[in-house]
This record gives sequence, C-alpha cells and structure tokens, in this order.
Amino acid sequence: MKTTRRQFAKSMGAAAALIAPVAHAETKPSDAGAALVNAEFGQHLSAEELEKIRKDFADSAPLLEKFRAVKLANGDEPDWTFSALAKR
Amino acid sequence: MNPYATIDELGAMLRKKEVSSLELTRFYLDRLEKHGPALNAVVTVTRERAEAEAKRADADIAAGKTQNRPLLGIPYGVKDLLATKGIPTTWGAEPFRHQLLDYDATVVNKLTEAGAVLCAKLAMVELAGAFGYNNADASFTGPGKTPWNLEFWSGGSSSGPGAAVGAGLLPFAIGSETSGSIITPSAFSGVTGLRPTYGRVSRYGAMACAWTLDKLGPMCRTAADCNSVLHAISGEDERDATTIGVYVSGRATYIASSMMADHPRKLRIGIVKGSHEHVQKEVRENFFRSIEVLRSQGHTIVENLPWPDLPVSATVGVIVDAEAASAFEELIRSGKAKLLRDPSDRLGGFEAITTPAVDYLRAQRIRTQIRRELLALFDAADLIAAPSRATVAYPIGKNFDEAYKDVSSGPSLIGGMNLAGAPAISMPNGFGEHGLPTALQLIAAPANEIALLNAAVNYQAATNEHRKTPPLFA
Repeated sequence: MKTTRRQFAKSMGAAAALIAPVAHAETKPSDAGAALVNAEFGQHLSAEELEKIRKDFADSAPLLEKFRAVKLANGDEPDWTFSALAKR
Repeated sequence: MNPYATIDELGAMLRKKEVSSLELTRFYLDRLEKHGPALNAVVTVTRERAEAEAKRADADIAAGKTQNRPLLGIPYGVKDLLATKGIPTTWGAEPFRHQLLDYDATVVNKLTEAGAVLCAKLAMVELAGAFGYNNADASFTGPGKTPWNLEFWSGGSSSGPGAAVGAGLLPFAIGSETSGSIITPSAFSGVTGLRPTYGRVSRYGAMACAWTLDKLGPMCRTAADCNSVLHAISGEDERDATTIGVYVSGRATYIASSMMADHPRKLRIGIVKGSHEHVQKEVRENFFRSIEVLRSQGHTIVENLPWPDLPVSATVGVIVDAEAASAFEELIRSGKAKLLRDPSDRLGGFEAITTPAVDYLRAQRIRTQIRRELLALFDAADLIAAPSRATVAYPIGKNFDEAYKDVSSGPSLIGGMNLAGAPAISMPNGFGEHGLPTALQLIAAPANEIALLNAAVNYQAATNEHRKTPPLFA
C-alpha cells in the first residue's frame, strides 16, 4: 500500500511519542535525539552505545544553538538551485 | 633511481630513454610492496594492470608520441574510493572490503588517456570520514602512518596517498577532499597537495561522501607536478553535472609550470585574523618564515582579514551528516555501520540519519551567507595564506580530541573554504614537534587555480622544504 506523505509524517510522530510524555521544559533535545535513534535503530545498539549517542547529542547542543540562531530572511535561498535544464 | 624524483624529472628520463616506463613502474611497485605495509598505506598493488600500462607507455615513447604528455609512463596511485574495473574498490571500510565495480572512474580514465600507470589503490579512512571518526585507526587497513615518524598519523581521510607519496612509494596520487582530506594528509605527510575548485574535476566513479562538498585532487612532490596532474584530470564530464568548463569567469585553466616560473605574478596575500595566533609554536614560526619568503618575492601581505561571525563548523557538520547519512542510508538502516573500525564511526551514522531536513536546508542557506562573506575576502587579497594545520600530525593510539588540547586552530579555514568551493594548496614549510612536517596553505577564489599555482610554483623555487625526504624511507 502506498504511504502518503501525511501518513509518513504521522508515523514519525508516533516514533517521537515513544519518548515518555513529560512537560516541554523537562525534555532535552539530546534526550529526544537519542530516543529517536533508539526507536529506529535500538535493535543494533547496546545501552552503553545509546548513552554515548545521548552524550554526543548533548555535546553538540551549544554548536547547534548557535547554528539555529543565525537570522535568515524568507528570501535567503539554499546554496544550490534545482535546474530543469541541468545536463545529466 | 631516486624515488623522490618529480614528475618532470621522471618524464625527462623517460623521454631521453635513460629508463623505461616498465623499469620505473617495477621500481615503484617493489617499493609499494616493501614499504606499504609499514605505513598502512596500500590496499591493493595493481601489478598486472601497471605492467600492461607501462608497456603501452613505452611503445608510445618509442613511437615518439610524447608531445604534451607530461604524465606518459609515470606511475601513480589512487585513494581507494575511485572505481577501477575488476580491482577491489573498498572505500576503506570493512562492509565494502570485497566490492568489485565494473568500470573506471572518469579521473582514472583521464589518467589512462594521459599515459600514466596505475600502480596501487591506496588506503583511506573508512567512508572518507563520513561518520565523524575520532582516531587515526579508522580503516580496515589500520592507521595510516606518516613516513616522518611511524608513531604518528599520516592524516586523513586520504591517508594512503599522503603516506605513499611522502615515502617515495609513488611520484603522485589522487586524493579526495570533502572538508580537509587532501590538505590534512598533505601537511602531515610532507607532500604538496592541491584541492581544486568544486566541480573542476569529475567525481564520476568516486564514492560519494557529501555531494555538495566532494572534490578530487592531486597529491605530489611539487606544485608544478600538481599543475601537470590537474591539467590531465580536470574538465567537464557529462556524467557529473557539477563539473565546470574549460574557461571559468574568463580565466584559463592551464598554463605550463615553466611559464609560471618565468612569469611570477605579484599578488596580494591575505592573512585571516586568528588563523595563526594560537597554533603550535613551530607551526607559527614556520608560517611567518614562509610569509617572509612570499614578501621577498614581491607579494604584498595584507594582515588581519576578518573572518565571518557565522557557525562555519556546524554548517559543514550538518551538511556532511545529512548528505553522508543519505549516501550510506542502507548501511545505517541494515546495522552494518556497526562493522566499521572506529567507535565514533560505528555510532555516527545513527546520529547523522536523524538530522532534520529543516536543519539541512538551514545549513545550505547559511552556506550562502558564509560563501558571500568569504568571497568578499578575495576583494582585498588575491590569495589567503595560513598554516595548513594548527598542529603537527596526531599521535596514533590517542583520540583526536585528546591530543594537543592546549592548541586552538582558530577560524575554520578548511571548513569555510570547502563550503565556498575554493581551491587551496598545501606545501611543506618546515618541521615541528617529534620531527614532523608543518605546512603552508594558500587559498584562492573559486576557479583561480592559475594564480594559486603561480604563487606556489614560485614559492617552491625559493625554498627546499618540499625536497626533504624522510630518512626511514631512503
């Protein structure tokens, strides 16, 4: 059966819901990232490896914060452009 | 036979028939087999193919078909991410150790047409570092070792090309760079390496690490040799839509090195603020000695160029994470990423694959701003000079983030200039701790390899650090 984009998004939401429901302020992005990895790939990973992944996410949080703080205007386009005439 | 002869020197010997290509090829094949294992530099020695190609080169030389063919009969190696028909192409990674592809990469085809002789597939960091390795021991061939001190890394991810050229096992090799993988091993192994403009060299047949960043380039003894190899491998390729034409922005792409030596250009060479202040002491001293050489050659030095206040490293990181996770999605989803060697690589793919699409697009949008600000630097300077790396090579057996903790590299010139697609060259400029080489990096605006190589060829005419050879591999 074909999966629509909306159904796919819903399934992703379900994966995210595997994180125990807690108040927003208590959910760290690093825990959410690790939970997503666990939901999708937990069968390949030990508890120790999952903890390492959680720590990696936590360590990169300050960098990501600065990354997400960069102001972008609506017209700031990505640094590549789709071209219908591109040669193949 | 001098294993450290340049392409030009070897070519002259071949044309004068002082040596045949077959003799030269067997000389380097023997060195690859003898010394390659000590350096963990070689995956496959391609003796059968090499001898056949050398015999063809000798026939061409005998027939006088040598005009404008500086690579005719010259042995070389390629990083093992380039497809070669019928020879394993392992990408340095255990899950692909037995991969056989049935075609040659465009670069290999071009070098074959130029008459060069493929002698080896060279070691590399697994998947070219796609998953964020944190240790030199990140390949199924083991940690690449610099020929200057076997307790230290040869640099990555083109570890084999760096070590093999640095130890005189080959006159030149082809490496690849997504963000530092030619410049770093060139610096750590004491060779001259050129990262061309993004799109200058076709990547058809090269393993994809990050499509919007990947580049292929030569690693040689001299800038003049890099010029010869670049001329042979560059150009448009209908199988790689990113390749750029012969002339870009009205600039010629090739001028013979001898013409560059005869016509040195006087350029403005900029130094970015923060790029040398906190590097290792010898790295800094050697850098300023290099600057004085450049100044003595009539170049104008422009100091304190401003670096953009933008998250360069995070932007490169998000792009590599997203593109590499896509390129290796099956490897991650199947769990086979756990077969990789470096512990960080085993987990990095699982983290990278969760990168939100919005973050990836944000990175590509920030990249526009970074590129705009970096290109503006080239209004004030024709070239930018910096230490290639803030430190000498990392010790083997220690995680990168545990080595040289007191050293700061300052602005990420390697990351930023890779985002901008700008060309750069790394040249040996002295020695630092543990007898390890240090290097000078020159960077040009995209498509301005001519100015870059002109300055580099003439810099090396006035210095001899690039002619020094590691005593362990005489």
